[in-house]
Amino acid sequence: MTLNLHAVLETLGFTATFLLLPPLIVGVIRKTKARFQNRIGAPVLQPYYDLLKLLSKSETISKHTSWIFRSTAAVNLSMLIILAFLAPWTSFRPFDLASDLFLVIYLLALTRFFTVLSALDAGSAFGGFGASREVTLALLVEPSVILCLASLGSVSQSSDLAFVFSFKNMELLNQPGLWFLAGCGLFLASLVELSRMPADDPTTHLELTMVHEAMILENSAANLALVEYSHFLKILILLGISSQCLLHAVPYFWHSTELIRAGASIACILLMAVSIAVIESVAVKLRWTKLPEFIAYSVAMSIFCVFIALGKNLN
Amino acid sequence: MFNDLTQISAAHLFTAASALWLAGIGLTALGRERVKDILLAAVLLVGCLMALSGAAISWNHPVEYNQLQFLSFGLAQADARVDPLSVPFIALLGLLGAAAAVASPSHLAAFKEQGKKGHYWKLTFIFMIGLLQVLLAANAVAFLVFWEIMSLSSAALVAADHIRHRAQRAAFAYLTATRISTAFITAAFLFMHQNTGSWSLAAWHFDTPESLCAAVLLLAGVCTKAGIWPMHVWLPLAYPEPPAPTSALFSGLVSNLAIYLLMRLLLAGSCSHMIIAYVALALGTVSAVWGVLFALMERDLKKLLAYSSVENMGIILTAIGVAILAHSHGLADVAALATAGALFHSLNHGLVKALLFLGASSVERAAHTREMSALGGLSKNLPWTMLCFFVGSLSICAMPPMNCFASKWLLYQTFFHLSFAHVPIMERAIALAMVGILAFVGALSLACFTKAVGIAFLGRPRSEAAAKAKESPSGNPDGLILAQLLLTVACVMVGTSVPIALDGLTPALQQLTNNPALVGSSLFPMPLGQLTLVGALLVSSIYIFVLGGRSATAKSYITWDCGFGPLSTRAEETGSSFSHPIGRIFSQVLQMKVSTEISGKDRRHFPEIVKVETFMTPILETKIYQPLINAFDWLSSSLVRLQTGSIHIHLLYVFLTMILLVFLDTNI
Repeated sequence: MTLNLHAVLETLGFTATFLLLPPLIVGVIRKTKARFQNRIGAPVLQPYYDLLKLLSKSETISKHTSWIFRSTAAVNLSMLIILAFLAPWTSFRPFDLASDLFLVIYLLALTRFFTVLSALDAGSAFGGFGASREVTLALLVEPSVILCLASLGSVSQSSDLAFVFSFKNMELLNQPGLWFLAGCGLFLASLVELSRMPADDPTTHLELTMVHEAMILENSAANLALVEYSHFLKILILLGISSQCLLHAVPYFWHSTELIRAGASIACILLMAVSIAVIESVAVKLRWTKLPEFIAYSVAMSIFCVFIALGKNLN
Repeated sequence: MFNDLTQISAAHLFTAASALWLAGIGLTALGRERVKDILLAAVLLVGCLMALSGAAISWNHPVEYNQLQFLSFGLAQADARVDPLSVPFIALLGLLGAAAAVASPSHLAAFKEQGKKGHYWKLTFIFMIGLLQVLLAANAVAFLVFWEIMSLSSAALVAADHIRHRAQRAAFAYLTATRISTAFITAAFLFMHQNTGSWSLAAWHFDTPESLCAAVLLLAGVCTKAGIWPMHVWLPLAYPEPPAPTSALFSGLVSNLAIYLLMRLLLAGSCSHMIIAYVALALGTVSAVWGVLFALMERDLKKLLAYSSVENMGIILTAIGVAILAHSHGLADVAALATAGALFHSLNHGLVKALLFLGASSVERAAHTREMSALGGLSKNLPWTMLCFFVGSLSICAMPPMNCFASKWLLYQTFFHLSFAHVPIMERAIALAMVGILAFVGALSLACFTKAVGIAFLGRPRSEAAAKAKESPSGNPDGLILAQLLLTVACVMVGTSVPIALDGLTPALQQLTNNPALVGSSLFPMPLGQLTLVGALLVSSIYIFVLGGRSATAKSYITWDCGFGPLSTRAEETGSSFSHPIGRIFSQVLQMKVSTEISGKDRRHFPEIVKVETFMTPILETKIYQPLINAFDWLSSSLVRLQTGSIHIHLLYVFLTMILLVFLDTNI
């Protein structure tokens, strides 16, 4: 086997990108929100500093926790790193790895399994509430995510997401409607999955009303840094997938070079981060009981995707 | 020559296993207590190992033999046949039987009463013989005889703790279900015998219009036995009741054997009735959703597992439905995926459910309760049980890299492939909808099992009993724990070497799909084993390099209490509150009502007593079954008047019947 230096460099670049980009996205979101509120706001790079600071702090652990609590951060980060290699969050992938749709969904579910258990581990009411809400939201969102992706897969007759999102699949070339709907459906679903605004307000001071922050209340220091970083990485991957859908909806990118697409991928993710900040600045958090109605938009879009997919394959 | 040898030895092994277990029944009368338990467990274990090796020898050499011909059932002899389809189920039987054998002595150590132990062993041996011979039966008559032996002995095992009202009720419900199921299956067999003139199961084909009636009856019988909606009501009652080792066999095999029968007759018998496929799909989908929803709301750990069986049986039934559908459309790849999914998932589910039931039994033994609201914090005192139950939960939620992930993946692929196959658009729409429904059910089962693990094992103990729980009476891992570890290792091994497992199923799949070119491992092209390795390396390196070094400096402190002082365990999330938001969303189906009563002088701002009650009425039981039972009661109490006890009246009945018969005879 000859080691291709070029490929190795590209892979290293790819790895560096997905390892370094996530805090930036959060920084962009925070900065934009601050500007909307007429504040200068913390520097865009603040999340990096926060993570570094957390890593050097000493940890406090609840005495009621078990090994689940300690291992969750490591498991989640590893699964998300694997996902970053598998899931099509950017159009630039220097290697040829098959990424099965159902594997991707279930790896995400695995991180949820661990997060929920670690939230229940300390036996605090906050963690319990957060966990309970998390599984409820996941239940409502999951069908929409899988249907958006499965209808794309169904049109291209492959469950390999790397192939579906490769700009090479002629079945999907002139399907802007399908791509756009899938992108919007996934974006709305991501807002819920990532505990962003209409579903959860990540910036309140009251954990009892929150989802993600309530679950990680007991984490501290390096453990918290890993959990936070995993969450940032999840933001990158989920926003990446929905931004890829939107990029595929634009015929221009089908005929452009790889470099343009790679740049556009990153730009689109950052643009989505800005749009999240805009949504969070102008919208309010929905009441818990109203959330199913909000998620219904995402589900409706996924159902339209299914209809388009069924119509496209009409034989 | 070699073939002959394997034929003889496999047949001999199975017969010897049955004979050994039969001898075990006799052995229950001899020996001293403690020695006897170990001896009988050894007998059970050796029989299971024989069955396992018999399965290993004959896995791709179909064997037919007739060693039990002295057992003639009038219509046919007790012919036996080992074909590729029965081999995986025999292997599952061997494995679960071995686990039960390992767990038995420590389970029985808790019993003081000698008589109960003797009953346990006798019934277990009869149950095992029934299970094995059902799988070996080559003709319908032998099948029914052993099916009945299996059903009745398991009903007796359900009633093992018969002093309790709960066990009585469970045994009665289970008996009713098995009676109904056997009646349907017998009727189906009689129909098929009339159609084909043969009792041999292999000679029956369900591709003629006349076979439809038999297929419908068969489906009804199997659905009752497998616990498919709406015939599942017996399952949450009966599954939790048998003794711990038996509950593993019971949950892992009894429903699976019904699925086995369905596969043997409808899939191997190339059923081509679309209506059966649609009905199977519909019933399977409803049971999957219904089962997991009720599992989530359940407060009893074992009932939760039982409802989860309803879900999984439903999922398997949908796969069988799709296999029939694909077969009649001539879609070889979808049929292969569906069949592999159904077969593999039923085996995996049997394995995992047995593991989880053993875990729940271990919890019950340690904390003397199954109510999740009284558990919690068991991870400290029951580390092994916790580990095994956790792995089992990961598996049953189909998390990669566990075994159920592979089978669930096959099921997803089945529906996904059907969505772009050359079939009517309605079926493709159903297929894509099923992908969404499977995802929904998957998310619900994640909620359900995070609840089971999180509430029962994690957090702080919610009762004194849970705080004082011990893994085993002696404090060291004993047989019950070892049995769980055995099954856990099996789950992980199957999960990480899926292609090997699927290759092992290749002969069975070829038999079921009538497609000799099919190779099991080609259905699962994912490098899951390698990914597991990468994942494990990543997890351990992150753990060691980022977290591990800091463990020494980590400070142990209380759970955050907002500075209000010691947290009451009542502030913790309970099972009911965990699933409450989901219950609210589905309150129509669950018939869930919440009533809140606030009292006190200034009740708005300073309530003195806040009382919240949640009610759930099982809609099916109260709205459908209770009226039926009432009608049945009324009918029997009305009919009892016929039975006056007077000999004259009875003679009159005989006379009237004779007149009726003569009349019928002259008119037909």
